[in-house]
Formats: sequence, C-alpha cells, structure tokens
Amino acid sequence: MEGKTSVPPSSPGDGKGDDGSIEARIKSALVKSLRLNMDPTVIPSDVPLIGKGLGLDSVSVLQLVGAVEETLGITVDDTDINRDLFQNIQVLADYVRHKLAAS
Amino acid sequence: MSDVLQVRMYEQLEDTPERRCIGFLSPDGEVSWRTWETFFRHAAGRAARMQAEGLGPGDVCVLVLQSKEFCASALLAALMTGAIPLLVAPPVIQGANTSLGRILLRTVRKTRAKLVVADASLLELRDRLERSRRGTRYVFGDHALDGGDPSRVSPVAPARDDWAAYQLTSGTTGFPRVCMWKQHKVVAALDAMMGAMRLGRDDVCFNWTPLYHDMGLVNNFFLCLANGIPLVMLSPQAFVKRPALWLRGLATTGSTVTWSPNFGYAITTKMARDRDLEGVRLDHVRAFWNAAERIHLDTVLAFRDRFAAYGVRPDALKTNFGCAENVGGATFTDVDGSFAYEWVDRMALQEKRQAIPTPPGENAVAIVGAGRPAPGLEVHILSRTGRRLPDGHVGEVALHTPSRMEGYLDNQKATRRAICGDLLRTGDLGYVRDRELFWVGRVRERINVFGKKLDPSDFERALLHVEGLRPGCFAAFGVDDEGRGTQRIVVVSEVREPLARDVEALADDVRERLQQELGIDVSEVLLVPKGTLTKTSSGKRRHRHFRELYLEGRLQDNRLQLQNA
Repeated sequence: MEGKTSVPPSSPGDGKGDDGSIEARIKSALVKSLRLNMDPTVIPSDVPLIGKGLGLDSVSVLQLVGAVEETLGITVDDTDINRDLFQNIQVLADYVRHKLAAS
Repeated sequence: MSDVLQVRMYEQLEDTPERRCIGFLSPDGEVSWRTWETFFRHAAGRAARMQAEGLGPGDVCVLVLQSKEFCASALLAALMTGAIPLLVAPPVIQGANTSLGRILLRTVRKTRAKLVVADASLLELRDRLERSRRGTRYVFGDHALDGGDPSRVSPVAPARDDWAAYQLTSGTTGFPRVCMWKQHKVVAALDAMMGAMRLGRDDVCFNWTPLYHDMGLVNNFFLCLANGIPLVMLSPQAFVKRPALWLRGLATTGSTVTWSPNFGYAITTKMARDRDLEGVRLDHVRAFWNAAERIHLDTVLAFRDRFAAYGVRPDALKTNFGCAENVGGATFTDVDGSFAYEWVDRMALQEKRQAIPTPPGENAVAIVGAGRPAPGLEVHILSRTGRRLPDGHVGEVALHTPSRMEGYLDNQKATRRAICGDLLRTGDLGYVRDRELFWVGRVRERINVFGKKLDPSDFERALLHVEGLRPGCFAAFGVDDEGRGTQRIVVVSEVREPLARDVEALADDVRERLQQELGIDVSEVLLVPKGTLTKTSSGKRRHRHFRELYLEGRLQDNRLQLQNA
C-alpha cells in the first residue's frame, strides 16, 4: 500500500547521527516495549512497522504507542492511530515532533 | 424474579437510583462514576434518538464502537428501545483492516439491521454502506445520538422468548456466525454465573475487555447491570498501552473481581513496573478470572509471583470455560480455592487421547483446569461417535445447560452440528477429572490470538488473491508463544513453479493480504516447493498435521531460500 504522507529523504538504516534524536528514542522504545532481541540502531528508519517490514500486530502497535507516549511525553490520540502513522519510524518521528512543537 | 434482561436492569434502577452503577477509568487513572439514575437518563436520551431513527422492539441495532462510555451508553439505549443489540469490533489501527466493511455489510444484510451506530472513523465507508441496503439507517460518531428527550422513553418489557441479543462468533467461511440468544437464556446464564462466582452487592467488577467480546458483554456488562453490581470500565487500548492501569484501577476503585484472557496476564507481568505501582494494594481482589484462550500455567504462576508483594493471593487466581453458544461461562474455579492443574503423559494424551497423571518432566505436559460446572449445568465428554466418555478420556466437550443459544442465524447446518438433542456441542476438546474440566484444544484446528478465534479455512479465500501461490496448498496454524501468553500465526504455502517473483516480496504479499482481509498479523510465512504439503495430507486435519511437523522442525528444511528464484 502506498504511503500518503511525504517523507523527506534521510539516511535510513545506518543509525549514524541519530543518537538522542526522536528516531533513536522511538527505536529504543520499540525494542524495549516489545522486548525485541536486537540492537535498536540497526533498525532502519524507513522500515514499515505494520504489514511488511516489522509486521507488528495491533497489540504490539499499541504497546509501542504506550512506550513512545511515555518516553517522549506526548499523548497520541486514538484517532491518530491509523495505518499512515506506522508507515515507518521516520513518519512516526515527524508526528512526534509535530506533537512536541504544538505542546 | 423476572427472566427478562431489561426488567432485571430496571428493577436495579428503581431499587437504588443514587448508587454507583458504572465508572469509566481514563488513561490517566481518574475514574468517573455514573449513578444508576444518571447512566439510565443519558441512555434514555440516546434511546429516544434511536426511536426517532425508526428503531423499535425486535429490530436489530448494530454497534461498531470502541469500548468506551459512548458504546456502553448506546448499548443500554438499544436495550431500552427493546431492540436486539449486536456489537461488531471496530478497527484498532484505522485504515488497516479493510475486511471490516465487508463483515459489516454482510452482518447488516443478514440481520436486516434497522440502525447502525458506528465509530466516526468509519465515515469513509458511509457511501458504500448506505448504498448496500435500503431500510438501514447509519449514524456516525459519539455525538450522533445527542439531544434526545429521556422522558419520551418508557420502560420496555420484552417477553421471555424474545431475542435479548445477537453475538458474532468465529465461522468457517471467513464470515462470523451470528449466535441468537433468547431473553430467558441470557438471564439463566447470568444466574448461573452469579451462583458460581458468588457475586454480591459488595463486589465491584473491573473490565478492560471489549464490549463486542462476550467476556466484556456478558461476564461484565450484562452481569453487573442485571444484578446491581458496580462496574468499572477501562478501554482495551488504554490497557494494552499501559497494563499497570489495570492493577492501579483495581486498587483505586476497590474492585473485587476482574476478567482477562491469558495474554492480558502475560503483558501485565512483563510491562507493569514497580514505579507504576507505588501504593497499589490488591488484597481485596478476590478473583482474577482467566478465560477465552488457552491458559498457560507459566503465565499464571509468573503473574502470581510478580504481584504477590502487592497482595495478589494464590486463591484469587481463577479459570473459566465458556462460549458464546452458552451465552456465558460454563465452568468456574471454586470461589474459595485456587485454579487446578495437573501434569499428564504427553504421548498418551496425543496418541491414546487419555490424560494419565505423571510427575513433571520432559514427557509430561501441564494442563490447566477450567473449573467445575456452574449450578444447573452438566459437562459431558463425547467420543467421536457421540458416546459419553469416563474421567480422564479426551473427547468433545458437550454441555447440558440452561443457557444454550437458540442457534446460528440462517445457518441450520452449523446449528444442527452444535445442538444435539439436549446437549450443546462446543467443538472444544477436553477431559474431566473429579468434575473439573481440563481443556486441551479444538476438534477442528482453530487459531486463537489475543482472545480472537479464527478458523484456518478462513485463510483460503484471502490467499487465492496472492500471485505465485498454489491455490489451496497451504496450512495455517497457531503456535503457542509462551513469552506473550497467546498464539502467533504461522502460514505455510506451496509456491507455483517456476516462481517468477522474489520469495521475500511474496511473503510480504501474504502478510499484507491477510492483514487486509482478516485483520490479522501473521508472524511467520513459510514458502515451500510444490509437493511439500500435498503429498502428505489433505482435508480437515491438514492444518493440525502440519502444525505438528512445524513444531518438530521438519517443515523448515523445505523453506525456499530468500533470493530471486
């Protein structure tokens, strides 16, 4: 399924330069909340979270949302939990930045 | 006492209008209580709006709503009009499950629903829905039923043989069956549960399970409203995001009884940290009921050990077996004791269908008991030919029950399979020892993930659309995921040869298609060469057979390499 949100090009996957960035914190929340046995920095920022890619189920997605809310201090509205938001970590990070700017 | 649900509810309202009826716990842990008077007045306003939309006694009212206050209120409102409520699961991740539109359309057509109250996220389906059937009205969003005059709605008193509610249950053709429940059968189920759980007005029930699941609908909402027991609700999403909310909520509301499928206990044990639970005491919780999917001994023991310091008592851990066809629960752990389990010989269980107690070890398997029959109910174990089996012998679980469904709507074949003389055949496999029911599986292979039940044959249609697979040459099964306390789904399929596609892309297609069509997430897709599945087995037992081969690691050797073919 094609994404509807435009994503600025970045350096997906190399993990360089995003220590402490929103992307890095989401990756670390992802690994921790789902107890994935992997190094968060090896997760590419452009890997889809649902369907293809990581293939998270709806329960895992909600667990991830809970962890992101807590680590980044935002509230994700239930109505925002849609397919587009979980296209990849980059899109989710853009959403978080938007939320942080608005608060 | 009346054997009509609405009459029972109105009796509670008249008895104690100022008492706490239902409370809603917000994601930040605040509880908002509604008295009986307030909850019924709000619902009556919504019932008036439903009547204005043409809803009347005996009409079907479909609710596709997140399990929050509006859903609870709309459900009561539908009952107040004398309509037959039917709840359908809305999507958790919006836009990710396109099967919902199809399931909803079929449900509406099949039940000739008069009114559909749907979540605002379904507005995009509006045109498609409205075109499909004349005579069905659709309203969307939490404010769709605002502004009604509560005084226009007078109490209804349906007859004992009228329909109380319809309930969706897993089917075999990708479409759920519709269980039909009569009024006096629903009340019989509630009475049996009251007796088995020994609930009283000093209890407070806490529920985070969805209202569209019979655990939320019957074991909590109907049970509490018909018996004057305060009910606290937390949305399932809020629970999954922060499972500690469940335990905190139990403490702050003084709740005494709560329900969850096995996976809820597993994620709470893993996710709730000590710093989330400061000051929480759970000594007053006398029953943590575990039901609706396979109960893992490890999950329950880990929960007990993790939260013992917070006051979780071993004798508060309870198990239950029930099904939508029985309306509510059938077997229950004793009120005064802890759940039962035993170790039995693995080989004898699989090959001889006999449960022979044996010491724990490599050749033993732990089976968790699901409790003993509720008052007025008998459990029988049937052989393949329908003969009653003695203790310790595995067969189909059949119930002699006062709360049996009437049948499946417009499905005589399935109804005849389930209702056999005076018995309800559940399709579950188990054995009995000293009146305790031990659940071991399903007669037909069934996948059970997060309390949701799926028949492997549901996958067939969805997989037909994936280019590169051999039609019908697949197996789908659930594999216990001890870590998460539920099952993960594995799909094995043969591919067409020569395969003109990348194997990985093909596997992605399979996941994507099953997510769209069935709303499920497959954890592993195993693509194998032509002949791997077809040579060995076919028919109904195929899924079970390949599940066994998979667990022995014998299918994985045939996996196609992840490269261009």
